[in-house]
This record gives sequence, structure tokens and C-alpha cells, in this order.
Amino acid sequence: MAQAKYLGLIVAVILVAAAAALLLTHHPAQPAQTTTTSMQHVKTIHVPVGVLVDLSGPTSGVGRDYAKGVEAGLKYFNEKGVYTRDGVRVVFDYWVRDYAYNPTRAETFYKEFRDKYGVWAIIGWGTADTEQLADSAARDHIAYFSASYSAKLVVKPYNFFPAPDYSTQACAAMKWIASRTRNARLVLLYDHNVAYSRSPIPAIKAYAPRLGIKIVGDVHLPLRATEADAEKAMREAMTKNPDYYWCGNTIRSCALAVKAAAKLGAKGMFVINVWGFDERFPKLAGRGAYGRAAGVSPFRYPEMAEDTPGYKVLTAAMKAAGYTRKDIGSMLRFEQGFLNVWLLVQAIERLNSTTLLKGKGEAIKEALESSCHGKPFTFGGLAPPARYCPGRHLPYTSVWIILLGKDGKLHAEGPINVTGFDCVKATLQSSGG
Amino acid sequence: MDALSLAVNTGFQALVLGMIYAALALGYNMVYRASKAINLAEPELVVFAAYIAFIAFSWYGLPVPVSFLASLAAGFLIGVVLERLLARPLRGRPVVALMAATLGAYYVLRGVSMVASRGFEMGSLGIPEVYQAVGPLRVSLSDVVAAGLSSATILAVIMLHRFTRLGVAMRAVSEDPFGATAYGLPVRRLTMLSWGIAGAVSAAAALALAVKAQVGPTLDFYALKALAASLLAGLDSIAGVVVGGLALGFIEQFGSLLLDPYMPGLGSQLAFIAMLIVLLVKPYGIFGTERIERV
Repeated sequence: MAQAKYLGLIVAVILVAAAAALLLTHHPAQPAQTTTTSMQHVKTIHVPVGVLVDLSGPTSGVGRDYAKGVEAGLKYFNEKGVYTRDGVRVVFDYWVRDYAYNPTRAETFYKEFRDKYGVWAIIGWGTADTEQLADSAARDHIAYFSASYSAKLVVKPYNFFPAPDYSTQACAAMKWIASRTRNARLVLLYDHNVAYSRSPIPAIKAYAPRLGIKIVGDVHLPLRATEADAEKAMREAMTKNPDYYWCGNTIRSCALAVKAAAKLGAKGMFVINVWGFDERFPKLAGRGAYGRAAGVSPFRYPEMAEDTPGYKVLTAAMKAAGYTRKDIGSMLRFEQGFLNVWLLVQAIERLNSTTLLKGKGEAIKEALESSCHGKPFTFGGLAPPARYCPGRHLPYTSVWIILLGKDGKLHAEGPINVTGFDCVKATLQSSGG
Repeated sequence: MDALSLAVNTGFQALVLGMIYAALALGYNMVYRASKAINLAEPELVVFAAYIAFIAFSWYGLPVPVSFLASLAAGFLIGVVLERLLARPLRGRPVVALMAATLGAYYVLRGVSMVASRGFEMGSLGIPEVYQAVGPLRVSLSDVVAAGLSSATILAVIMLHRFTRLGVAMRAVSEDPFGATAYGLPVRRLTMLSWGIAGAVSAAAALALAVKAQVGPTLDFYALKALAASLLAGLDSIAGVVVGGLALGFIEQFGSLLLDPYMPGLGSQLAFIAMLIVLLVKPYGIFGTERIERV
């Protein structure tokens, strides 16, 4: 009897835990409704969407606000109303899953999205998992919008993102370095075991020497670094006497590296990948980072785009989701999540209801690719107009460099456009892709 | 940079990190001594405690010491609640039941910390950036705060166990609960207190860790590494756990210093490899008490 009581207690605890986990990861959208069968009388089309995010894994430092942006976007457009070209209302049914940056778990959730909910589109996250799922998405005709801007995804038929790939972004950063310093010496700091961090490295190695930049070091900086790890990596990097450091990790790790540089009295400027730098950077890296760090961004920082129509849409979405500015750590990450949804919405708005119902994910893909020689997708000034061509989903090639000034404020430089060198190709060739 | 400076600075960072690991490992140790089970909720307790300090400091504008105290209080409270809700009802049941229950508590705490932090991602505890060179050594204020917090925690636990009546009573309960009952010791209350103190110790270690690695949901990863230190040393020995934590810090820092240029990332995994080897040779850890059971 007593044994049963204790067993009951254990089961209860596990159930509570499971319920908590479900509450956090499952957002009770409407059940997976299929659309009305008779196409003549379609009133509403329910578009099933899977949302795959990192809320608890090593990239959750940037993943949570991205996830908020995605959810806010879906809620906002559901409330505001999305209509196909022929005026049929579209409603997103969506399911959110925290895969903790674990590609195996991402695959499990992908199968759940596909087999249980029959999703037409996925708003995803990381590089390793998106690259791994790209072929499945193509086979299953699921339009996949990722937060990973890996060059390898540019050539995948069902993968989209509203930004240049990491390699093109890094090439723009190299161009910026070359414009500031002749024959600059550069050390690469990144986690050698993380697909996102490694992604633009081949393009940097191919493009930088053409601009006269000498790569003098290639140092491992763990994504989950402590100050001790960052200091160790910086000591090694400093032995190469560089003018610039490329930090290819996410924000926590890069902020610690810049902090370590200040502590060790290192000279040189940090140029940081898109997920390694945002509005929080000055606070995270501290005063020692002032005037010595810059981030790459294909998007206008929200605080620098307050006069744009896109910003008004973004803040409206934030309010629709019940968030205040205080609830969002980084508006840039929120914006990145939101833009992925906005891109999906614009693609749907280009379709008529029959095509959407018939083609589902494939129709969304074709709508996106219709921009190749047609009207580009626009984001109200938050990002440049985007065009996707079949076989090459590189929407544009310019980025801003966001400089952390000596005054502790962020200043945008650019946009910088990469021309005359195919950075995507450089990455694909190096990986046999 | 010369080799001496590199060795001195790496050694210093290894020491600071080792003390943090040791303090984290003490959280496991105290629960193990009280209930003979590994508290698998500790990694998330660490995250939760760090967030409490961050929220108090950053959102409510409380001074850093007050934020830290709030975090310690939260850690203590969680420890007490875990004992009351999980350890006490499962007393006398197979240890694996309690471990499973603490694993459940891990997920509950994770949910609570996400809700409490309103999904906030990460932040800094706002330790001012002050650096000082001492010979070849570069020391920052965050080094001093982290080392101070973790060493004070370790010392407090040792002194509690060695020099106070409460500590002696807790040891007695841990070693022979039936004998302790016969001597009139309030076994239940002392066990609850052990869990509470373990929670506060974990919270203190979490703060030291957050100073060195910033507040974020991935702090649980370091608490898991500290479990490796505990197992390496032997879960029931306080001195052993301290040695294990320090060993982990040194193995990790010097391992990655030497191996990262050739095999990036391997150095930080050396601790786990060492733990596996030790457990194969000495299943109760280097300093652990070997239990002889009659069958």
C-alpha cells in the first residue's frame, strides 16, 4: 500500500514536470485543422506551421527573443488578418518546440510536425539542424525559414531566410576591415565544433587574402565559454599580434572574449558575426569594449529604424503578443524572428487560395521564387528588399556594420555590398557542397 | 607572452574555476550525505538562483549584495521544499526513486525559472571592470568576487561540519540516522536543514559561476560538470569533493591549453574521461567510502 503511495508520488512529480515542459513548449493553437474540402466555398485556410526554437540550449542566449519574435509575428498576423490574393482569410495554426540546439531532437520534432500536424512551413533555428533537415524538407515539400543563414542552405530548394548567408556577411566584414586598415592582420576566434561558428570560415579564408588581409591565427573559443576559457583563447590570439579579431560565436561567448581582451590589454578591433552582437553587447562586454567592437547585421537595428514603417509593424506585433519592451532582451533578435514570419506571410499573400490549398509548402516556395524577376519582398525598411531565385536563395548581399563607439553607443556604418566575389561558392566548394 | 606568465595565469584561472566547481560539488555532497541520493535538480537550481540575483539586481535595482542574499534565500527555500516534498516521503524507498523525483524537480524548476525570468535570456551581474597586475598575473574584480564567494562557501561548509554542534548533529544523522534518533536528535528537521543548506550552497556557487560565465540558461552545464568532480572524488567526502573540484578546474584549463590547438574542445572533456577511468577503477571515487553490503 505504502509502496503504491510513493509510486503515486513519483508519477505525480513526473506528470507535473511533463505538464510544465508541455506548457513551455506547446502553445495551444487550434488543433490541426484541415482546410475546407470544397474549394468553391473556402472561407478560411488554416496553414499549419511548426516552430523549432532553442529556449534552453547553448544558443538560447539569443534564441529566446527570436522565439518571442516568431510567436508575436504569428499572433499578430492571425489577429490582423492575412488574405490570399483572391481574398481568402488565412490563419496560422502553429506548434512551438524547444529542441535545445540538439539536432537529433530537432529531427524528432520535425517528424512530429510532418507526420502529426502535416505542416506546410517550419520556422526553424540553428545551422546544424537546419542543414541536416534541408533535404527532408525538400522531399516533404515543407517551406523552411531558418534563423541560420548558412551558405549551404542558399542552394537548398525549400530553405529561405531574409538575409544574406553568413559567408556573404563575413565577406562584407572583410571588405569593411580592408577599407579601414591596409594589410590588416586577422585572427579567427570561434568554436571549431559548432556548425554555425564554422560556417563562414572558408569564405573568410578565401576572400580576405584578396583584400590584402592576412589571417594569422585560427583559435578555438568555446560557445559555452567561461571568462577563463575566453582569457585562454585571447592569450593565444594575442601572440599573433593581430589588428582585428573575427568572433564567430554567439553573444555570450563573444562578449566574454572582448572582456578578456580588455583585461589583458589586447590591441585590435573585434568584428563579430550576426548572432554574436546586438544591443545588449555594451552591457555584457562592459566599458572595455567601447570603441573596439563591431557587429555585422543584415538588418536595421530597431532602435535605429524607429522612423520606418517596419518598426511600427514590429512594435504592433510586440503589443499584440502582450509584450512590453521590458519583456524583450534584444529587439534585434525579436525582429529576426518576426521577419521570418513576415516573409512567410508575404509569400502567402502572393498566392490565390486554390494554389495555396493545392500546393501547400510547394506553393509557398514558388511564391517566394516568383520574386526572382518580379516584385521583391519588402520589410518596411527593417531589411533591404529580398529576391529569391530558383537554385539560389540569396535575397541580397549587403550588410551594415554596427560599431560600438567610444561613447558606448551603437553607430551604423554601411551598407556594405559584396560584389565581384561569390562567397557562397567559396564555402560550398570548401565543404564539397 | 612568456611561458611563465601563461602558466601562472592559466593556473590562477584553473584555481578560481576549480573552487567554483568544488562549491557546486558541495551541493551534491550535502544532499548525498543527508539522503544517500544524487540531487539531479541541482543544475537547474543553479540556473534559478543565478536568475533570482539577476532579476533582483537588474529589474528591481537592488544592490548586488542584497540580490545575492535573495538568491541564497531562494536556494535555501528550494532545498527545504525539495526535502519536504520529495526526500521525506521517499525515505526508506530505493534511492533511485528519489533520484527520479529530483529529475522531475529539475524540469519543474526549469519551467519556473523560464516563467520567473519572463523568458529573458541572459545578462551580467554588473561586477565593475577593475583589473590589477600582480607580477605576471592579471586579476580582475570578477576573479576576486568569484574566488571569494566560492572559497567562503567551501570554508563555511567545512566549518559548519567540523566546528558547530549543528554540523556534528548533521554528520551523525548522515552516518547513522537510527542511532541519531535514539540519542534524541531531530532527524527529520536536520535532514531538511541539510537540504536547505545544500540549496543555499548551490546558490552561492551559482553566483560565483554567474560572475565568471554570465547569467543564462546554460549555467546548468557547469553544474553537471561539477557532478563529475563529485563522482571523481567520492560523493560522501567533503575534502574529497573540494579536491575533485580543484582537479576538474586544473584538468580542464591545462588540458584545453595544451590540446585545443590540435584537437579543439577535447581539453574541456578530459574531466569526464578522468571520471570514467576513476569510476572503473574505484567505483566509490578516490576519497569515497566503500560500502560493504551483505547479500
